[in-house]
Amino acid sequence: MRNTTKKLRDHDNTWYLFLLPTILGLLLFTAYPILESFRLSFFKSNGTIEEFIGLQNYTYIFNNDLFWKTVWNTFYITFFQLLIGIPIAYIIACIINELKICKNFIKSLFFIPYITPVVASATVFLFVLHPSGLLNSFIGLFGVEPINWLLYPTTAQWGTIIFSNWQALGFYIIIILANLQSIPTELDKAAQVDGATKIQIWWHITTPLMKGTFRFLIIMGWISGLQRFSDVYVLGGAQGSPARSLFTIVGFIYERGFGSFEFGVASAAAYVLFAIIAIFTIVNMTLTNLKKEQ
Amino acid sequence: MKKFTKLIGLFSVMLLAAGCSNGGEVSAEANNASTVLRVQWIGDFQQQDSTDPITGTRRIGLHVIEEEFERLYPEVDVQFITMGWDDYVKKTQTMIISNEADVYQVPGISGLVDQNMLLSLEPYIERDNYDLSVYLDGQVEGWMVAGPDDDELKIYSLPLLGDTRFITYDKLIFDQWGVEYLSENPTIDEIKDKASQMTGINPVTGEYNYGLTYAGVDAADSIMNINESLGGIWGTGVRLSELETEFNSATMIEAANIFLDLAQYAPETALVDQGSELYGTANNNIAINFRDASKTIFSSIELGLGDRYGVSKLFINEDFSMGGMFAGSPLAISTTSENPDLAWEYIKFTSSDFVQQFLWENYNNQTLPVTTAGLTFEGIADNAEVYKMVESMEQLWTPRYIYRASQPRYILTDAVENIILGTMSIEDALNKAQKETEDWVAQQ
Repeated sequence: MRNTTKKLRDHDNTWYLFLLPTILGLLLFTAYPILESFRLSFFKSNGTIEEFIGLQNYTYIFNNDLFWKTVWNTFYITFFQLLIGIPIAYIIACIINELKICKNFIKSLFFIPYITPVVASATVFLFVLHPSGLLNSFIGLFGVEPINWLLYPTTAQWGTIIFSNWQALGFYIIIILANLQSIPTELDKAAQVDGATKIQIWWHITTPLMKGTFRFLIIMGWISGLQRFSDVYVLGGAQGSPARSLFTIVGFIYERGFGSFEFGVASAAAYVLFAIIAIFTIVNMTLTNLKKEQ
Repeated sequence: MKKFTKLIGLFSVMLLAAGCSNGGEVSAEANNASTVLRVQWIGDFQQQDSTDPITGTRRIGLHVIEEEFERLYPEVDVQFITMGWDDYVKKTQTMIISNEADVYQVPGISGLVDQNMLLSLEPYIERDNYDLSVYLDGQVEGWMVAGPDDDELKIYSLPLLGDTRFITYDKLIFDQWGVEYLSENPTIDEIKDKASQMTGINPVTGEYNYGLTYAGVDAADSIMNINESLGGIWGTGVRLSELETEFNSATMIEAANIFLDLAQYAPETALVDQGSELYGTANNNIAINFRDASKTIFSSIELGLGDRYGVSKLFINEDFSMGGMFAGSPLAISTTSENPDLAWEYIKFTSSDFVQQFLWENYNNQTLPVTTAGLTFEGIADNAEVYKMVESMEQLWTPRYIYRASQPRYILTDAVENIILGTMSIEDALNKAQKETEDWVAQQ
């Protein structure tokens, strides 16, 4: 009996050894920076010289108009990205789901932008959004005058919304398709027997069964949207031009940290962002009843 | 089997430890016959020979500089660490903290000196009685900064790469419109007059021409330069915590008005750096670039356009005999360097004709000579446009605008963007910028 226990313990220890590199990596590169950043948020720090200032960084951020502008920009872009992107992805996914041929090929086509690095695809979008670019040529087909997408604050934000939807559409489609394919066909057949049309089946049976997926996409979309940085950095530069319209919360953190060497302010802003994401996720889960259903 | 799995586990930990250890020490031990000097290069520099992807020009690699220094100092093993401009301040700071090099290229010097990361070079200059007159006027002064314990500006770095901004113009478009070329030191009225004449349908090509364009990302610097020509200055102060900016002075307000007047002859999207892509190419449709860099000129020469593009100097403040944002890249020694004396020898070496001429001949698309000898190099002495370009480096504002090293730079740029977009009045935008800067300084 003693031998068996010893054997089991040895066995466990071995696997702890295997886990050790990962755990060390997590402690060093994830846990330590998180804690260090929290500590820094109470200091005035340029990276090497520090002075404890209590909650002053947090007070500064809460009273800073520019910070609240970044909050507005971030929420605005993310809200419309999800509002437009998820329904379009749902419609496309339903069409793909009905296809008899080339289903995988079309899925791959939509998924390519998602696996392309954001910086690379955003750089290409600089040309798409150019006054004589692809997007203006496209809307020109419908008689719409060319738009200087990146010149004005509102159009620059909408240019970003278009880009982020183009980029994320593949992910939305794959997730939605996974759910569509798990819906029992018996439900459709029963409805057909009852005389329901295809549209009625789609609206009254398929769509309600997708609620869980929509909730998942909304919550994940908000979390990643609130951390938006790479795409707006490429499209609007480090300052989120024009007129700070593409300046997001993470952009604020980046500028204060690496543009001005105000690491205390940047760390405090990072924790405010963390709080915003946490609160917003709880609100999202409550509103969509996900927590309750889980 | 158990022993084997334990060994594998132990090996993983050792691998992780090795990965996290300082690689420099390992290479130093491996090469203990010589002293290792590690030098950082920022920019599009290659260790080996390469070919420019756009112009097809062959460029010799930095190995030539390495070999020459090792020839002069046979006991030294020079190791170059090359990196791009993206996030260079962050990367340099990280490299200094982790002691990755001895000599650093530090265009973002203010923030690094503020953190006591760089050695003052003054003791070395004094010790060797080093002659600073080898550098072009203003090149040393431009990089002087005050550290947290300094009462006045000091030399923490010496110039390596020269850079400047100037006005350029397309001589072909001037000829087509029958307009006289810009003078070497044009006035604002001259630029406005000629830009207005050349905005419209080109009488020869029948295509639409813009009289002027500007660098949107640097629009605030253009307004500051106009401000200087009106007798204004950016402000005073040698440390960020002591800044006193004059963003809402009468001359700044007038300068912004003048800039708006000029901008009407530019592509509407110039603010976001769109619409001027053809400038510098054979298909150009813009007469004057209000704020250009040397890359345009040298790329056009490499594209076979000869001297089609002319150069004029930026405006100056007559009282101070200087104007325009100081730019370039100096070299400094980190406080963590294990070989500061050798690093100093390397910095002196970079002012030699050998290094400056090599850089000029192979990398003139990203650097100009910083020494007076550079004015005699082939391709500079015999080319009036390029000569003006190098010479203009001597009139840049020194010490460089310290407000650009931190938040006030972004504040002013934001104000200028709002002015150009018409979302704020000039007075409101500049008053807001001044107040935000004062609040920021008070918080330092």
